Amino acid sequence: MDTPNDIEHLLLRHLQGVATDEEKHLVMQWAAQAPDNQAVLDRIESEDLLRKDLDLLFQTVDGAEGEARLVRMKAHILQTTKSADQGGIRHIKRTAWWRYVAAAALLIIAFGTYYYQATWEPRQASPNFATHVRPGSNRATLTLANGQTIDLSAAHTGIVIGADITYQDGSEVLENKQAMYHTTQILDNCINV
Amino acid sequence: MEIEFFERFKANDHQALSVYFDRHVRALLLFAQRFIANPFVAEEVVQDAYVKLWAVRNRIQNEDHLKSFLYQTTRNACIDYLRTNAHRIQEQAVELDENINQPDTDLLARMIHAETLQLVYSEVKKLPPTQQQVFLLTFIEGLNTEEICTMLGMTANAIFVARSKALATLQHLFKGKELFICTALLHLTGLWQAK
Repeated sequence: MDTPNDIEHLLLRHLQGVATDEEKHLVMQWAAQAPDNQAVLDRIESEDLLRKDLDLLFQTVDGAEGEARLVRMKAHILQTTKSADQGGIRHIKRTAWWRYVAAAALLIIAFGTYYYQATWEPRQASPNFATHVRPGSNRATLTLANGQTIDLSAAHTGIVIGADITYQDGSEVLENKQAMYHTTQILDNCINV
Repeated sequence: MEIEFFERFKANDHQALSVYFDRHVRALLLFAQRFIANPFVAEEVVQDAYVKLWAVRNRIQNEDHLKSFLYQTTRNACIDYLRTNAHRIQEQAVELDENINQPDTDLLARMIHAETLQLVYSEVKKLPPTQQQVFLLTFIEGLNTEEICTMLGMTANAIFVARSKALATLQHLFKGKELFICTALLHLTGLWQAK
């Protein structure tokens, strides 16, 4: 079996007193590389500091309390990272949801525009305005029940409907007496006076 | 094997994340606690480092990079914590001889220290439970044989055996100092075999 050759394992074997001369040499070489490395070697070789560090390590991770701590931490990490992943999926779903909203909005705008143009264009296409509008005068038309229309005279004012239809001054509206038969209907139906 | 885990990690496998958790968490906690004495703060800082690692997993190039990311992130969070809570944690037992604003060689050295300590820890954990207990009582609590005997209800001979085996884990430190244990061990083994 290969023994791991990283510095941590070399230091462990050094501490265990099982390091070969070559391994001891590697440890010394490593320690000489930087003051911080030397400090680590010193700290590990010092019985007091090693005791202190091991004590701290055992207190933190060993026994019922230590194991409970590790279980708690792992559960927290897995829960947080898993819900973060689901959060990512939710984010994608939210993007999709916005796409639907955008598509719906486009449809509404498209139909709205179509409807507006379909209903608005004909109105624009038929502007039947009189080109010459004459000033207003004393004119009226009397429409009888049989559909006959009579232009009322501009020279008279008001009409009186009795046995005959006369103007207020007594002159006859109808030159043609035949229309008189419809007088009763005229009473009910005369509109455009 | 190593590469396989790393590939699984890159492929969003939470199981691989949990393997890296098991592999480094003890050393990281020790590393953090050399900055911050409060174990609960250290716990939070380290678990945050793992959450951040997951968030940037696409940018992690290999396992060494992964490891140094965890240590770097933990250290930065520790320093931030110390700065923002400087007034409150003055009285806490943060090691006085340690300057927290040292360059990266210090980070690397601290990382190596923490990982080595974790290796020592796992060596101790390989021992049978009784020997583990004797190791802790002898080396960490500094109790003598008699006290341990009383505590564990074991005979002195059994303690000697357990202790010497346990201390062999850190033989280098006990060279010369604990020769009497070795002598006792040899003696006991002799007696054992004679029986």
